[in-house]
Amino acid sequence: MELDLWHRVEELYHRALEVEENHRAEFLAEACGEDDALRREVQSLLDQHKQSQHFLASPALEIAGKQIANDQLLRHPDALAAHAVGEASGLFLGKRIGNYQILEQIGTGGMGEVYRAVRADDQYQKQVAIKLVRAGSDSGFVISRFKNERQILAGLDHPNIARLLDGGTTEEGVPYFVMELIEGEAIDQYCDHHRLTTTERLQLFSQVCSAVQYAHQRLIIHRDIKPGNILVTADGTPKLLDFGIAKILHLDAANDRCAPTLTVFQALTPGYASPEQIKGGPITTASDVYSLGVVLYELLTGHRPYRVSRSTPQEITRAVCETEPEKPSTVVSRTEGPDSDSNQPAITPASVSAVRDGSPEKLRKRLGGDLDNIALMALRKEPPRRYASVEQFREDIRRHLEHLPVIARKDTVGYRTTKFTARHKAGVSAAAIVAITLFAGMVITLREARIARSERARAERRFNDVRSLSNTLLFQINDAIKNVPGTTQAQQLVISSAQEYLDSLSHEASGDLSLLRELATGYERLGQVQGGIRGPNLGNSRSAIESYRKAASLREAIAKATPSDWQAEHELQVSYDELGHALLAADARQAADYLQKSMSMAAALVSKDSANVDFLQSLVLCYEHQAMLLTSKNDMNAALQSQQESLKLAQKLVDMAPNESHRTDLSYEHKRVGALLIQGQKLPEALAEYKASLALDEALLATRPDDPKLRFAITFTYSDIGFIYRKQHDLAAAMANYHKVLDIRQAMAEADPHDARARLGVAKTCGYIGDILRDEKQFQAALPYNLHELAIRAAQAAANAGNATDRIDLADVWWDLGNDYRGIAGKVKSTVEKLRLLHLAQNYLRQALPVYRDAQTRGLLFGSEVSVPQEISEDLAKCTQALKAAESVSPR
Amino acid sequence: MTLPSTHEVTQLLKAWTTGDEHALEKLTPLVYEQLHRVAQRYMAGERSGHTLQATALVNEVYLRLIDCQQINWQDRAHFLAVSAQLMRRILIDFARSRGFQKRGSATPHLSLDEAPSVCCEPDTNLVALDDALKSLASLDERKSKVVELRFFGGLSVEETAEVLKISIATVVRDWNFAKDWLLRELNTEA
Repeated sequence: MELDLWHRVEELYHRALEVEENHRAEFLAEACGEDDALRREVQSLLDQHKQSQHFLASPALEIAGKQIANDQLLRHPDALAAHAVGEASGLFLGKRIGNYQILEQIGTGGMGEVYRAVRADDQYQKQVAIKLVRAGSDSGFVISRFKNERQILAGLDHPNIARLLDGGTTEEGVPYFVMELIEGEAIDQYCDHHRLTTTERLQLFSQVCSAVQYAHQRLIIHRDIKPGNILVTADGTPKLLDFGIAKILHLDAANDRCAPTLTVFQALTPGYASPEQIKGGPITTASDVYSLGVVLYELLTGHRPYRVSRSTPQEITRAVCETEPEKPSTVVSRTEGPDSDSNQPAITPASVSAVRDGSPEKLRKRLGGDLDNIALMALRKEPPRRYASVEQFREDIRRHLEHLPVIARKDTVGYRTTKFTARHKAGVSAAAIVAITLFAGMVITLREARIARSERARAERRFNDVRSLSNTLLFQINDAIKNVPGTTQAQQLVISSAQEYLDSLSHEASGDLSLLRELATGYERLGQVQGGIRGPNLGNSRSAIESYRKAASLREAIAKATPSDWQAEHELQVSYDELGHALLAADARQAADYLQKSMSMAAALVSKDSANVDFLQSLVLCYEHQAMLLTSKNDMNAALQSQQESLKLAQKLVDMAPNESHRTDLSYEHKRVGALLIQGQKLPEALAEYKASLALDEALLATRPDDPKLRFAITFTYSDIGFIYRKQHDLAAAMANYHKVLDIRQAMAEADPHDARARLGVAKTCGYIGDILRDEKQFQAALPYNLHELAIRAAQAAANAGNATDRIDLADVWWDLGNDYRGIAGKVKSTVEKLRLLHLAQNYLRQALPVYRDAQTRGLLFGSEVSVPQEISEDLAKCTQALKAAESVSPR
Repeated sequence: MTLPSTHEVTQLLKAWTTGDEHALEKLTPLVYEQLHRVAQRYMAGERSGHTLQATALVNEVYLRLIDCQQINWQDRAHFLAVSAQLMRRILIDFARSRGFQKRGSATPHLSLDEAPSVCCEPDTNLVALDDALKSLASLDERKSKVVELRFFGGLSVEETAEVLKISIATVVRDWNFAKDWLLRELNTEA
């Protein structure tokens, strides 16, 4: 394609994208005029645009990894089967979840599986139910939600509510709930099996209402009331399960609305969900009233309030949202089914009344009047037209049972009018609408007063949350999990919720200086965490920058309000510095601006108060960040100068106040200068800086010799020094430093046998030392390192039997050992000894080969690893040849 | 056989840019190690469909490649570009070696529903993509670079802008256009 045409295509493509989708064709036709080829070209690109949103959305590495996995699964049906089982149910059978041993699966639901389990450390062997949540891609959301609600739910203590005992997430990241194990029957089946009369059913149902009422008083809505969630124990006590769990799973946290319809169908049991739940409206206690109404209707009549021919979401939506249920007293005269699909026998007047009040006629009479009205009132489409509370609902049942007049009435004229107005809005007089609105308003007002009170309390709680969150919580949580593999998502969650809180508080903070300060601090810390997740240059730098920007603008406002306050000025300077630093990778020009501003402010502050360590420390950072900026511009000399200035000031800071933090900083500045010197190939100078750094680290460690973090950290400094020596071909010095690394890691590994990081660190360093020695043909010297490595790798492979990587690591040591022995054999004179060594070498190589071959046939070798079996074969062949040669001269 | 240390990697990368193919061989295991981990996660049924996690993994490769504390890359942009090239080369070599042929893979893939896959993402044939990307490079070098850096290198829009010394808006425009163009090429070919 000609260049000119290419540019025209591109230009039109981008312009078309700015046009609304359904006008694009029109736009193109006009823009291209008669050039049909051009139009087709652009159109063919635009045609991809929808699909391309997901195209290349994951990095190539991820896609390649996925392909390997799929490939493996296809090649190995066993793996596929295991995989399928893992995906489906029964995944956790026989396993432990938290402190609980899984005994058996007792149910499956839309939400996940339920297992019977026992607390492993409990001598009384009390059994519990564990509900695993199949949450799919929303699991992060679910977990956050879960943590929020768990406390509240655990506080629900009512004889008719199954207690939430515990919860968490499995190692695989599946959230679970531990609940009181209820052995019982679903309420509808219980009533039928025990042939409970209508009155008995009402009494039982009333107990269920009391449980819901109790929860509502604590502002907890069930959201998924259905017979399957109400179990009746052998002694006749109804127990409500899964309180509030639907909320944890499926609610949009921001506005307490239900997820869109389809999700509700997957999540909730559509037959029991209220119209507002199905339509995605606000969920209130009235939604529970409705679901209770459905349960009551079924208990009384044996029929569902809605009959649908096909259970499609559309069909159910229409039925629930539009169809008026039949009166209970008439529906019992109806015959339904049988339903061959679900194997349901026919529901007949006789079958229904037989397990209730005897004859169909008797049942019809029993239900007529009060009970028709009560059930239908609970089932009204519009929440305000239902019972105002479960309490009122229950009270009406009580009044009915005691033969008192009930509140529930037949549908009023007003109600019917509402329905009418809904259908014919334009045709109804304004007066009628006002009258109706007033009527409905009275009911609403009562309920809203209650809600308003609770929301204020919630707002206050939230406000306090923010303070603790920005000050401590965010960092405690993040520190606790940041080094745990696989918690990236959790970290992200912590961050996003922190951000949400801070943003929400920002709206309320104007004018309150102390609060502004606190907010700014919150954003700065958030920025640190955001930037720090994956290293300052590779991490989520954009959101970190945003947080720093917000902090800086808050600091600007504070400094403006308090012009003579040096502290505020200092804080603003620090804020600029942090922002500039965060911008380094994203926007060098802006970064330079902020760093420059920060530098001159910091210098001015130091000249105002030269004894202030905070001011001086900030200046140290300013120079360090300037050095980074210069490095990124490739101006290495200037960078070195700036870094050296930073070092000089850091030294001054230590002279002024030789505390631990200042000394740590100084050590770090030495390393930075050293790194720049390595870049300039000034190895001796670099070494001097690293040694200065090491001296500080060692002095620091001397004050706290048992601090494992410090000890492990210093091993890296030694390793770096070893690296410089190796570059200088000073093998002895390099070795000495690697040995220091080994000594420390070794001691740590011995002190704490669970410290895998130290133990495997030992193995790794041993491997490096062995490699250097083997390269130098010092096979005898390499041997003990490889043997030590062997011990660690062998134990690791044994502990993780079945882990292919560990097994390959082990085979790798075998291979190294084989070559060590082969090398040693080449140097010994005694034929007997040579034979012994070669046999050893042969054994190791023979052990290593099948592991690699097996790995190869299973497709576990990649890249240059693929040739390893061949290389080992060659080594083995050489070994065999050497053996033959040695044998031929052997006296045997 | 030991994975190269971070110190060595820096040198290896430099050697590779000057045409030392042996260096590539030494670097490959590093990338494969991560690749393997991604695969294992899928095998374990762990849904690593979260791009977030995947990105973290890619970044981990970089963290292994660069020794942040040790070496200040004189030219960070150059380093990122080289790394993305490296990833592309290694991953495409991998895809070819495993018989992922140009038109679909040699072995049928599980459908997206069966496999714990990245939601909604079409199964991308890396080899075909690589070819299409070469065609794109002949028409518009910069756009192919944007794709290389973002898709193979796992770089953010901002990082890509930094490497190519173009504005963020240009990266976004190039990325959109290139994706649609590539997708069309792949679709017409199939």
